[in-house]
Amino acid sequence: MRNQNIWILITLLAAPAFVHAQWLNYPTPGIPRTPDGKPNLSAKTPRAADGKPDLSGLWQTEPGPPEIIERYIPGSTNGSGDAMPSQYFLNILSDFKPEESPLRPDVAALLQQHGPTYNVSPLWHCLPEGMPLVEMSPAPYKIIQKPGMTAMLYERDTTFRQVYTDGRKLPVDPQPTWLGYSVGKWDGDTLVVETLGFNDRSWLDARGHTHSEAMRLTERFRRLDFGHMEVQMTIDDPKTFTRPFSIKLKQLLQPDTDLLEDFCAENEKDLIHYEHK
Amino acid sequence: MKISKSILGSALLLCASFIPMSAQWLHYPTPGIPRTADGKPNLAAPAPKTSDGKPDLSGIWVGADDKYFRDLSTGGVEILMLPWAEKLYKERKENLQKGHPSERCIGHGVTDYDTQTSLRRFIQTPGVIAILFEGYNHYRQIFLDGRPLPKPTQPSYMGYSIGRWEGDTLVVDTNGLNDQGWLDMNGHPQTESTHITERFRRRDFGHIDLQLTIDDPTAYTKPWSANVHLNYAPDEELIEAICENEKDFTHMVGK
Repeated sequence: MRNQNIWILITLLAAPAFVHAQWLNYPTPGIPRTPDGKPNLSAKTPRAADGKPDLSGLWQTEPGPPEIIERYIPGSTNGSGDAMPSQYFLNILSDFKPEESPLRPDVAALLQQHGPTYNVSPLWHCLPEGMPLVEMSPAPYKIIQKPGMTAMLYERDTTFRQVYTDGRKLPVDPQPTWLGYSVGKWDGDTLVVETLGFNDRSWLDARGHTHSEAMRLTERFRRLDFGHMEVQMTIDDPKTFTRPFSIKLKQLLQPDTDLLEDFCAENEKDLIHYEHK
Repeated sequence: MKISKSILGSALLLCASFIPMSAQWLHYPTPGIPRTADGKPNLAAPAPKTSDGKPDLSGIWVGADDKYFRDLSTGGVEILMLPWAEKLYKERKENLQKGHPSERCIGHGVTDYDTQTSLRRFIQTPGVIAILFEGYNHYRQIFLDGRPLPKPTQPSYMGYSIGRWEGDTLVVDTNGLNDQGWLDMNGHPQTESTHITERFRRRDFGHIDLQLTIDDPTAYTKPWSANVHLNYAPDEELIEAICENEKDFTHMVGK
């Protein structure tokens, strides 16, 4: 158990190396502000030219409740100011009691037998977090919504993904990738993004929950107002889970800052210093 | 003999970066582009404009020729270097490009992404242009909202870029670069004082003329420019290309 906590800390520390390098404090142009000049995060949701909500902006998943984060990383919420992750970043099954877990018994047994360190995390090799983990990270990402395509730029590893909204269908047997192949369509004011074509190498969370190439991810993005977005993620992977399950992330607009360059490969030499069983 | 070795070095690095290139699993026709009567993309059609009347650079582009990617002096550009820079450039070139950041999966910077013959997508909005690179799955941002270049405090491979329109030409200034990146595969040095100016002009639907100007009195005796070209890539998509071959650098033998 203690090893596991150390592992989680290492994962967190390895990634947001630039969190304190605030050299980008240019006020975000064009955002609503209150009379005192502060961003008005409760202003109404902006709309694109086609009348749909405009999701564009810099977003970051809200940290989990301190009492839950403490459960995974004791002593971490001591006010040090470090960016804390979502509870789902630490454990995607955070909502479930052990006896209600949707994890297939054979997969659970493997995890139990080997612990979360039975395999080396891709992050230790500076490989991508992959979806959906990268979108839950304690690091910002930028949405750029255009007709026909929405791009997500992730600060983590300076990587991106594209969501096609031009009406195309999901490919039948795509080449497996870390971020998958995504198409989106509007359901009222909610952008529904479906993704498949994942490889089986990324981890779903810092705990080491894995998934198969059969995983399908459905995200429902709903921008509640200017500064708040709700993202419901549904994971359907019959080779890993007995049933589909959903988590709900709260994401907060990050005003007056921007993405920084982050290349993990600079730290790839750290691997030899990690201890695991 | 030396030349062919150098080409082999380039070939190795190219192979290292573009493994998924031949995986053509995406053949979705690009929606909304001009086509001739027989359905082929009309690359000679006029350059599209955005609603504010500026040229729209959006689309998938590819470097027309990788000779500038290998060396920006190709084609007779005179690059006069200070002695330390010349020495370093010669070392890197003679050592078959060993030590380039791409062998550690860090990828490229402004000028070598510009000249690379792999796909990249421009996404133009009024306030920012994002460029998504197929190689290494990296991106870069160019701010168009009138902000000034910041005083660099944290040098990076891609630097900090702002753009403005001069008529129909997008002029992009970049500073804040680190001294780890190479301007081209043969290793023209980049320093923390390097200032890059890119002038993008979309000549017609299918072609961008791009002038790259390097100004860095700490490495070069005077500013110099290279003129490169980008071609529109119709009916193509970017494929995820995550560099996982960082172990290869142990096999780079050098000279």
